[in-house]
Amino acid sequence: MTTPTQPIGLDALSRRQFFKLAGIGAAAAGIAGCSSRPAREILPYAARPPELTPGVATYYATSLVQDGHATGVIVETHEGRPTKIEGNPDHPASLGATRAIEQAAVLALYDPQRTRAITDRGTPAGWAAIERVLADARAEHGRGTHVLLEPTSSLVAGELLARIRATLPAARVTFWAPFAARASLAGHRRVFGRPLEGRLALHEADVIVALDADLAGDHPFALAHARHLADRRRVVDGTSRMNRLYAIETSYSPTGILADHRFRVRPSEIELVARELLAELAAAGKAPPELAAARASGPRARWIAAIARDLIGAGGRTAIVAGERQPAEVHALVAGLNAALATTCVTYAPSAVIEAGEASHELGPLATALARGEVTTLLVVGGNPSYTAPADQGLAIDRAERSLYLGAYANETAAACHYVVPGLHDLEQWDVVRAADGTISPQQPMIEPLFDGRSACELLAAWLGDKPVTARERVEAAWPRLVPSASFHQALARGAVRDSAMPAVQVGVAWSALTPNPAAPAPAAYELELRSHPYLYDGRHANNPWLLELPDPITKLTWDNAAQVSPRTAAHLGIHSGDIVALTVAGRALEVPTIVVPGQADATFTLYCGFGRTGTEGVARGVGVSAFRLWTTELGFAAPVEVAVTDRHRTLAITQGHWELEGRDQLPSATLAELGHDPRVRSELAHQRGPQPTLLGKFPHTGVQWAMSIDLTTCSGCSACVMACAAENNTPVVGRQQVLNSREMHWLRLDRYVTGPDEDAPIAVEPMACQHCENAPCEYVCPVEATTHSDDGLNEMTYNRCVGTRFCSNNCPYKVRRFNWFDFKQHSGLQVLARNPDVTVRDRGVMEKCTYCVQRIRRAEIDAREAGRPFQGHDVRTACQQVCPTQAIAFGSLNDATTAVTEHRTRPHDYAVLHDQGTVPRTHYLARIRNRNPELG
Amino acid sequence: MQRGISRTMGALFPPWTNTAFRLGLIGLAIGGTALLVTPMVYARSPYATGAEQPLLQPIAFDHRHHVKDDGIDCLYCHENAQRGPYAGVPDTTRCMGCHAQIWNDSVTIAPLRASYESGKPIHWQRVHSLPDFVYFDHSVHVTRGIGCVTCHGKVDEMAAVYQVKPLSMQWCVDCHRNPAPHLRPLDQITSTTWQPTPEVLTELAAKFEPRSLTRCSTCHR
Repeated sequence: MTTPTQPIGLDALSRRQFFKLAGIGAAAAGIAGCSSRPAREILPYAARPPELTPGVATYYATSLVQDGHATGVIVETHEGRPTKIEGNPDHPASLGATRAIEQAAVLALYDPQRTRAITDRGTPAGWAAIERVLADARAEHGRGTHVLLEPTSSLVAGELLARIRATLPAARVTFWAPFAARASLAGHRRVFGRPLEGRLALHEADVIVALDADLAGDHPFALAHARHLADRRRVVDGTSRMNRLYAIETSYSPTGILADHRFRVRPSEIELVARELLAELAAAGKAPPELAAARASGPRARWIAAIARDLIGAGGRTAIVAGERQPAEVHALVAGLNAALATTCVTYAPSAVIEAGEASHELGPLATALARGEVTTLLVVGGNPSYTAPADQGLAIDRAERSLYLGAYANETAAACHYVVPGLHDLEQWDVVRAADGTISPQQPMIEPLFDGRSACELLAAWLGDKPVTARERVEAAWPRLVPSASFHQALARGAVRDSAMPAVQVGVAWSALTPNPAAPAPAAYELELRSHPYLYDGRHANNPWLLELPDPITKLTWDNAAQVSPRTAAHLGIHSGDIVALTVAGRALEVPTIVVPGQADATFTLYCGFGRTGTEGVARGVGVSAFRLWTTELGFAAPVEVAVTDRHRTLAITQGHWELEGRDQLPSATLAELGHDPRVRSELAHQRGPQPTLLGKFPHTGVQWAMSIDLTTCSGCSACVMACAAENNTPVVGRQQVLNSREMHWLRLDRYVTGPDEDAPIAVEPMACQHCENAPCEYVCPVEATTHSDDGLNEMTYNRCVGTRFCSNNCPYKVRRFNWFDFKQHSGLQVLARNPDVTVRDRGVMEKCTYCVQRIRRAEIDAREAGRPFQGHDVRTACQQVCPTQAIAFGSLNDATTAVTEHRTRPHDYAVLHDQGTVPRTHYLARIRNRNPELG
Repeated sequence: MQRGISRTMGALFPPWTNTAFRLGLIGLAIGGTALLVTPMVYARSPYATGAEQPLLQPIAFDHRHHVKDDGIDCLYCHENAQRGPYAGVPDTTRCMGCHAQIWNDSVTIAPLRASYESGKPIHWQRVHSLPDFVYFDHSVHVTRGIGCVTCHGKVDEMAAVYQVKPLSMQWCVDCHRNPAPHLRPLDQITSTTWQPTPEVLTELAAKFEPRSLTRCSTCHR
């Protein structure tokens, strides 16, 4: 029954009424569906910038900075909106490549949880209030004022800080970032008498030993290192010369994947390995004889002696590198090793990062001053020290009388401070910074600050009481002083100042600094290793959903943090992936799920930092647990740990769920010697290419015929390609639950294969995207011709034709098609500004997959036709190819004898995945080749 | 036995039902066809394609006056048609290049002056609208011998611009299958009166080498 107050209550809805309403609804929907096209507007510029043509991308050079180390990038902008980041080939820290982190920076610019307005304890305030705080902080020469910055190499900030130290001598300047490269400076000070950084010339090295050093991953100069390593690992045939890379590490890293030999050691053993290597060299007369006492015994002795002989045999073309997580002692030993070998591939130069007096990079004095209530004004400029401070040095920001945070994101530190001033993203910034080798790299904004943000320099200048100037004026005015040798505009256009790296200095080793330590304490039952996350780094990128959903290079874990543990240790403890354990370090306990990883050192746990954020950033909040809670300055990044297994379990969202090969060899691997001489290996490889019997006609090979070739010997699994693909092709993020349902949307996945029975579990990675088969199984089964073949050899996907039968995905033997089970795309919000306007945003119920970046191909075709040139396709690069730090991917026309893909097809280790299926894929691979030391087999 | 039954029972259906049944069958066939054909006709009708419907614009801009009377070339205002994917609408400063001097106090162009002063764009109504999954590039057509009039009709005779062609996929593909008859010399790209001759078309085909571009990713990416 209906009542006046309840016109049509659901409870009162009769069957007849229901059908009436449903009928009206259906009719209304029909009428609405029949309406003419919706009105659409054109909004031309009021005054169009002269360099801009709507619809045509413009490219600018700038730099992205991490812990004071710049990476040069080229940013693609559409109508003033940054949409894609590429590496800058003219920048020595990029060489045209980027990491996944730089790829995702464009989404971080449009993060909806950025700080948006100046606030005073949460209520809106004006810049005048900030100026009052800064004026107070100037009083009494800055007494009681502490400023906490991120490590920086900014030349502009350097000038300002020098003035601050001169005019406000009572103020204290501290720099803080948990993973800043400081240990090598301390170690080298010990042996050389001054703080220096090692510079590697890896393209000249024949033998390289990475001691817990992720050269191609988390090193500040990783992109250059990766390229230089890979350039010496391009195998043409069995007679090619390769460098030999030894990785000695606890948990697998991209460098470990690249390595020819990888040895698993516990964190506490790294220093012993360095000592024992030095002892071998001393025994061979390369170092003072008193160092020979520490020679290895036990299981390590065999491989340490073999490595030492290999190093000595290389005649100075060697490089030994220690990771920045290692203590100063190890860096000192490694400097000794390099000196003993008289290597020409390692030199030493001062750091590009600014110092502000002794101990300016330690958090301890500030933490103490805060705890004692001695801080009147605390200025936190960038970073997130509330979250990243070590567990034994918690920052009691609330003990400061006044605190101010300048930062781009509403993180934990912003919540702890009284005043919050919106900061700038790197893409909004004017500055002059240095790369890890010292190369001067200008930063120019791609877009006006979205939220009235201010730069660190602006805040420091306001603190000094300078007259306000625009950011550009500040940099342009300072440029002739800071970089007198180069033109500002040329530097902006190039993105770097030529030959501005810090010159190397001559050094001599003080061998006395390397005398053996007192006997090391007995190793603990279990050891914990803490690492920066390959994508989230120290947690600063934890609010970036692209990076959270990007599978880890080794574990393939997304949206979570788990302690890595070796299969043997897991079996010993009776745990499986996902079982939760309680890890206790020095009385601090943390419960984390575990993940079983082949190649992890036994009796060790590895945990990534960067998760467990508790701020107001909605995506980061509640993902994983914070490993910083187990990190103390005293113990460092490796500590003895107590383990207690709980009976709880968490299902982990891992993208590689299949562990069996069903007898197929999908990633063949061989040693360099086998490739040269072993007829069995050569014939096995030859069986995976060449013609197959078929009933189908041959595909006509006329004109440009697109093909790809991926060299697995140089693929480190770093995943920059996956991120670049997602950024270029508007791939949506689906979230943890949908990843658990195997509905992740990445067009490119990196399959991880353990390529040998060896306990050290040699891992190789196979990037797998649409293979663009000439006889594509997906095309036969599509009932609506939504997937078709183009005359230039592309397997095309026409979204607007797709009706979502998913037959194509079922019939694809490579499982590279992705289906939009739900409306995954974002409809509104700032993030949609990051989308590539040249690629369709897909709707629910539509299949999608790798297109070989067809939008770039068609663009290049149009450009060639407009210019009246014949189109050969030499200028087309796919997103994955362009970003690859090791240049493992080649792309081009098979009909052109000059392209790398054509040449790769002639190599003895060229193969096609699932060749026996007769699909004739256009993507081929070069098998994984390892340059094994014959002594070690 | 059988004869007996037929004798005792009358015909179940009177003779006229045969006619009714036949008519019904014809009606069903017509109805069924209509059900199929009507949406197909509708989808091709100007109502569905939006053709031949002048839109109300914020400024009553008259192409007849600017193009025919004043002789302004299409590319003077729509210069991006030869540079990028979008021909677009000129920016306010382009209009003000002339209208700062002539008709500068006209009531008709009050929104133009307002835009010039405020720096805010004029909200023009889009006349030629393609779906978001179609990537059309003006410059490759304009620089390779396809003229404005081929797709946009005689804009110089329109008071308010309306769409002339259906902009349907079939219409695009008809030309993409065989572009040669639609070519014109580059100096006649913006002409609305130029007529081809067979000799010129042969010459143009040799110059532009038009190809049949019917692969899906030509337009869908």
